[in-house]
Amino acid sequence: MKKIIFLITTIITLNSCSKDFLNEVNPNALSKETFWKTSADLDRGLTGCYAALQNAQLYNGGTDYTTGGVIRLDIITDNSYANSNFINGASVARGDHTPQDTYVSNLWTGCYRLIARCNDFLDNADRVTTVLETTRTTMKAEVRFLRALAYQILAMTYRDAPLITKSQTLAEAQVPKNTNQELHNFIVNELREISSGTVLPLNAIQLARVDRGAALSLLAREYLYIRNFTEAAITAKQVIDLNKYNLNTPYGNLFKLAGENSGEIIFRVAYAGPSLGVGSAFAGYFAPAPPNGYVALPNLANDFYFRDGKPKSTSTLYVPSNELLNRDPRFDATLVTNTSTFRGASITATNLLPTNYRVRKFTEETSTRNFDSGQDFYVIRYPEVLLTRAEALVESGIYTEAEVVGLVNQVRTRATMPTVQAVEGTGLSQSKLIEIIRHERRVETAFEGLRFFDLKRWNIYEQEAVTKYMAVDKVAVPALENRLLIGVKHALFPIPLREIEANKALIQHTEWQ
Amino acid sequence: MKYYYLLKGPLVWILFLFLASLTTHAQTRKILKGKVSDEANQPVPGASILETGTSNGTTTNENGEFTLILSSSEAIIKITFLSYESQTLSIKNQDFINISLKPDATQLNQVIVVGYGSQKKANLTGAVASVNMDDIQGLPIANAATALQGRLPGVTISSFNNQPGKNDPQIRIRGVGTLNNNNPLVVIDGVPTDVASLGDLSPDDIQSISVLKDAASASIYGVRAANGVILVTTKRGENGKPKVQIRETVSWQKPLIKPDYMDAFTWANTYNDFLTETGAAPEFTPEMIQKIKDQTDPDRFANTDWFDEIYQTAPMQNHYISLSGGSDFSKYLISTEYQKQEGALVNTGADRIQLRANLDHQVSKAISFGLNLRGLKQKIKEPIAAADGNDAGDNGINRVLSAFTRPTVPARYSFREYGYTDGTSLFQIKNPLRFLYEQQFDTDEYRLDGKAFVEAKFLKDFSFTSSLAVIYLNSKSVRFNPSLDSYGPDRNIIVARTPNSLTNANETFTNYVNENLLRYNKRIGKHDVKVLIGHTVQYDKTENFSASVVNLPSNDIRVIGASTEQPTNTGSTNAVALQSFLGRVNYNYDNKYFVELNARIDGSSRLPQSQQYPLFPSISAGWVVSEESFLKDNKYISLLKIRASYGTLGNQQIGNYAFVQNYNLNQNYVFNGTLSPGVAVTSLANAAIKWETTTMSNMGIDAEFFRGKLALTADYFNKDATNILFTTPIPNTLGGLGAPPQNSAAVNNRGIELNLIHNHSIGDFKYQVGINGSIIKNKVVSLASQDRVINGNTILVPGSPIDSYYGYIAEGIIRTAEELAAAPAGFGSIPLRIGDIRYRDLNGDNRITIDDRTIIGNPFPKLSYGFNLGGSYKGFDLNIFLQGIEGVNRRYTDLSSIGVRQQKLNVWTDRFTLSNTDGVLPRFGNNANNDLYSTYGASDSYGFRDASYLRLKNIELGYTIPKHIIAKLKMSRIRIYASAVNPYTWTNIKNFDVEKDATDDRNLGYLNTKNIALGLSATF
Repeated sequence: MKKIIFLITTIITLNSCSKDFLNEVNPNALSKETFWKTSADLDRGLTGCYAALQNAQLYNGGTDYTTGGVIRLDIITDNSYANSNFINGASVARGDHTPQDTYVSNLWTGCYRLIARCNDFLDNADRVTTVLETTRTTMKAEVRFLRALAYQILAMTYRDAPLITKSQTLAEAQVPKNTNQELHNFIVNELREISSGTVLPLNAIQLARVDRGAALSLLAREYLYIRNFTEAAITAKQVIDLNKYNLNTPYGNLFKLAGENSGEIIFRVAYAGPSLGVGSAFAGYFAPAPPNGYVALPNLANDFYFRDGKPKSTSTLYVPSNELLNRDPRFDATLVTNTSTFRGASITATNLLPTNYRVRKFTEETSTRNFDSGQDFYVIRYPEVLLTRAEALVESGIYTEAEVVGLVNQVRTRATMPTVQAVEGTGLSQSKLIEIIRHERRVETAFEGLRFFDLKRWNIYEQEAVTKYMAVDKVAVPALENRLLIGVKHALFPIPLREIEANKALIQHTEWQ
Repeated sequence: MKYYYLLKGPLVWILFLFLASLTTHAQTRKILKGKVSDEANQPVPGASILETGTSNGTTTNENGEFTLILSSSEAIIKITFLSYESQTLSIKNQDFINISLKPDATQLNQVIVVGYGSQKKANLTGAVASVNMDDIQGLPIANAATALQGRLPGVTISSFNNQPGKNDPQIRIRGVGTLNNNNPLVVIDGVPTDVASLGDLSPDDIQSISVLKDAASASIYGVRAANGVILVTTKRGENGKPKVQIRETVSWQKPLIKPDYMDAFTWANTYNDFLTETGAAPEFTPEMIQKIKDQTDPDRFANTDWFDEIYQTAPMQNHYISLSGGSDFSKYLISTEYQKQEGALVNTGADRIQLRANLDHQVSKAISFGLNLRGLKQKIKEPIAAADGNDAGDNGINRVLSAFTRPTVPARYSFREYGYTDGTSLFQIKNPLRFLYEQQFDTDEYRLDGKAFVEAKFLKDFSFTSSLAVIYLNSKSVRFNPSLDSYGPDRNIIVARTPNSLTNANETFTNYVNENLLRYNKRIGKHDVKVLIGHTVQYDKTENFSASVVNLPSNDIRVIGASTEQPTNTGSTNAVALQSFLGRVNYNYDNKYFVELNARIDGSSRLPQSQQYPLFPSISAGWVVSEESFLKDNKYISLLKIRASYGTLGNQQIGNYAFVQNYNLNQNYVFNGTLSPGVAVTSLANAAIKWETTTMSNMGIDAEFFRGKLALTADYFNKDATNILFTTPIPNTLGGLGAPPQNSAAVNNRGIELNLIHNHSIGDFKYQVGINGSIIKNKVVSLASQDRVINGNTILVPGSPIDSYYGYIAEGIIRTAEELAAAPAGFGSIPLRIGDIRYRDLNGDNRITIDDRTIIGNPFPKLSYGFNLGGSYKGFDLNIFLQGIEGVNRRYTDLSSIGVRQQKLNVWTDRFTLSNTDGVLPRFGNNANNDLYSTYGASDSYGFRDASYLRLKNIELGYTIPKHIIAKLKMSRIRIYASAVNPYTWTNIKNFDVEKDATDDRNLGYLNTKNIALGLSATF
């Protein structure tokens, strides 16, 4: 009997589990509780914020042509055409979209993914006390830049949207939308704070990170978008006065892997690859045909002038059999047409359907893997800043023609196109200058995600993207689908239906109710 | 591999004989010999003889004889045998005794294994089903779990995947209770594990299988019991001379069905017709058609039966040998099994070898201990392209067969390369033979498990058991995809080789369970009390990693170090810890009134600390009405018992670490042109996640009539699962995060189960008839805030079964211009024509859109049933077993067109054409409309069908060789038998297997087989 009692006691004693027995820690991921301790944690968190830029819903595409974010905005303008109904943006372009539209909900999610990661970083960065406060302040300023960038996209597309600046729990996520004014005020305040003094370094700590020039440039863009022309001109001048940027790279080399080190790239979404998991899908495609998910429209092609600075209709340099001849070099750098070479070879007509113009800009011609390229996307380039100052000066009404024309000429000269004086002459009216600047902005920045915002702020969205499209492009290429005039709803993205269903405090725009 | 052959060699026999010689003991005390016979004066083997008050005991041998060493010349012995009344006799200075047993009126004295113990069937108050292992041993099927199909009411077993080595059936106990993991808990010799572990047991090693169905019987397994519990007990040694049992089975497995595909001639003509009908020029010229007919140019115009190329009649063999026996102190069972199964798909298969030793030793009257040991090695051979189902490359073998081949391409050209094109300009096919023969995907599985246990009896009424069990499982695989060119009929390369690739993967599972149980049994007068309390801990860990490279220097070099190109590696680790406290109280008054209380508290690492220890209680009661005076000596009713139970069960299959908010890795970016590692929250955790709760009530009757000739068990249950993990959309303003699963949905299953057995003997002729069945009604009760969730072609909606089929109602083929004019506009962009299918316009907008979908079918059988007929006459025995399901639908996709690489069933020759306006199938050319997910089922091949069936699962004829013949061979029993599995099925589905997974619309499962077997079992 003693033996038995001994046996039982021994087993029970051996078996008394420690309290921690049931506390299994996931060995495959980092727990939120134990994160934010070391400088490496801070670096990883920061990288995670930047990584949201690479999402297909924001500055990339999916691994087919379907998904896309900002870089697909040109599809809903007069620049581009979605070649199939399943391509994100096709329905918005036609004007038959609903609040359930995939593109509408994708762009929303793409922006808020970036915002939520930034909020999380900003809420937690100060827990890492082993890193100098100045380092943390700089990192936080970078993250605030990213967040402002996302809010700018939201404000320019959805107009009103929830302004969320702190991490939320599931319960806290039931929030109403803020007004467009509140969003823009937030963007301006944030960008002013981080672009002042030395919060951000003059030169980025690492290539592709935010620096002072990027913050000032985004602020200049923001002022331009909210029509504060005086501040836009001043801020653009601040960028120019940094004396940091140049236009030394030939335009034709810019949107290639080799152009990624150009001195005009102010902020980029960086990619690498192939096969690294951080590749750009928009730069890849089913080789050897040029990308066919979205194509270029004839009216855009027409806006690329000839070496005499004149359009196809009036230029004597136009040779109908070869559109490339004597053309603005930006035509060949931006588009592919029947006389172009692509991947070192000529192109068959079927690979140019339906418009005869495909998109070359940002398309990597040496790619070996579909939808997985190392080509960066340029969010802000120096020419945009120059043209912003020019536009802001003229719009403000306080300018000298010499300065304005000089700014435009910098852009034209790099493209080896004749100066304004040489083509349009001197003594130009305010409206003529505006026309020149807007044209220059279009051909310089096509397919860089700016056209939709420009048309919208110029209040000519439907005039250009629908009326002109139906009159020019649809006539030239009858196979294109119709676009509808639906008024203010066309350039105002509805709040995605899914969001309204999941967030009871969110109310649809009255225009969309 | 060579050591497998040793099994048949002399070495093993010598080993066994040597072991056997070790077990004989010299004894000096009083020896009693005797013989036990039944009412017909036939010897009863296996009856147990026990000297009461001691641990002395033995069992009778094949001749009913026994030898028992008694503690003194005066003793009391007790003789028990299943289905017979037990007897207690006094022995006074006797050397020999003849004992005659009377059959027990009831079968309810049968002892059933229940959770942490066993109980007489008569004393059960919960719903427990058990299977008679004699019925399934020796069946020529590779997986023991499959043998249970149709034998247990309320337990639906489906063989969806019949690939050797991966053929674990789907087991659903009392319906589908959750939207998540529905697999039951399997407990083998007290060690909690899974269905796969049951599947690789040797059926000959299994002593009994019980299924705990209701809350009362299962709640002792707490948070893992909501999907039911299957208890498996393996055989142990018995007191007596060494006994050798041998079973040898060889069988042949033939694919259960063969689709009636068109031959090349019909196919080519049909393809031409299709082109003509759609206004295109025919592809096959008359000369080509002639060549197909004559088979004069088989490299260019073949007539390939692709089904026959990839499927075969495959052999399977199973060898089993065991040695068992024991003395008063030590008992042993040692067994080994070798099974080799070739697959019905060529060049697939599995073989396994396993060893078992179950040992018991009695140290003293109070203390005993034992050890179970098992080792298993299994090798599975298959292609990388999925042999069961499909894969990302659309290369699943059955998918390739139906959708990427055509009969005019040869399987191999005359110059031995695999066929890819024919003499037409049609696109190249995918050759399934190349996948099967050239790709290597070999998996080696090793299993070692063991359990040591000790039992101590003390203070008269108490006993204490402690055990430690460990499992070690390792699986390693080699996947090699060779670099090969694809050729055309002129030896021209049509697709050049791409680099070869190699993946090595390894997964290890380790587990230990420690269990400590204290029992107290007390009988005072008519009061019988049993108490059990226990404490268990369990720890499971899974670790895996894999590595791959591409472009190895040769297809013959298949080691990971041979290349450094595009290296990848992966790896992860998961662990689960459980600590539980359990308790049970049984009370029984005069074998008339029974009450049982069970409870378990389960602490789980899967649960957040705030609710880490959920409690699962249950109560049950039984009343044996037939023991009451008014029924006591009733002529017709020998037993009537009424049972009821109520309790809760849990399901903790909610994922590991689900409550912890993580930063996910691989949120990387590019700084300075190089990869920078990043992290971010990508999905939201539910910090308050908890187990799913199932509450079940059960009422049942056990009855026996005519002195046991007719036995009935009937149960009604109502099972409510709540707190089912379900994901509702969350605002994307949270960052586009994955939504956290919430304990928010509810599902109900209700049903009745019936089991009826009739036994009778007329002279030498004995027979048994059994019927069992269950009717189960499944419905979603709540989906949190959502009205419904449509997921492709299924829907979740309160009031209907989980994943009900959701589609269109077809109303037939439009055959006239009038019908065409009256029909709503069709689906898709092609305008309707005559020959197209007309659908019901549910919302009345005169066109067919996605809004015209409705619930069109049920994925679960409403009725599952089985019949069992067994009879014996002298040396012959015959067993017939049928199994069926009723009230279930399946979809059999078959496009209403003919692709350039697509098999077509011959029924399509009777499709609608302008010259065949009575065709039963729609015209070719409008798939968008004619192949909608709909109720249309005009033929055996098309659309959405009633998938009810009745299957003759097994028929077995055996002959036991008379004793006087085998006595010369010193054998005690030899039985030879012939058996057929799945020889016939009654169903409406002809071209495909009717038994398939609800989501398998394209008939992608590894085909079931019909088997014919010859077997021999011998005992000596």
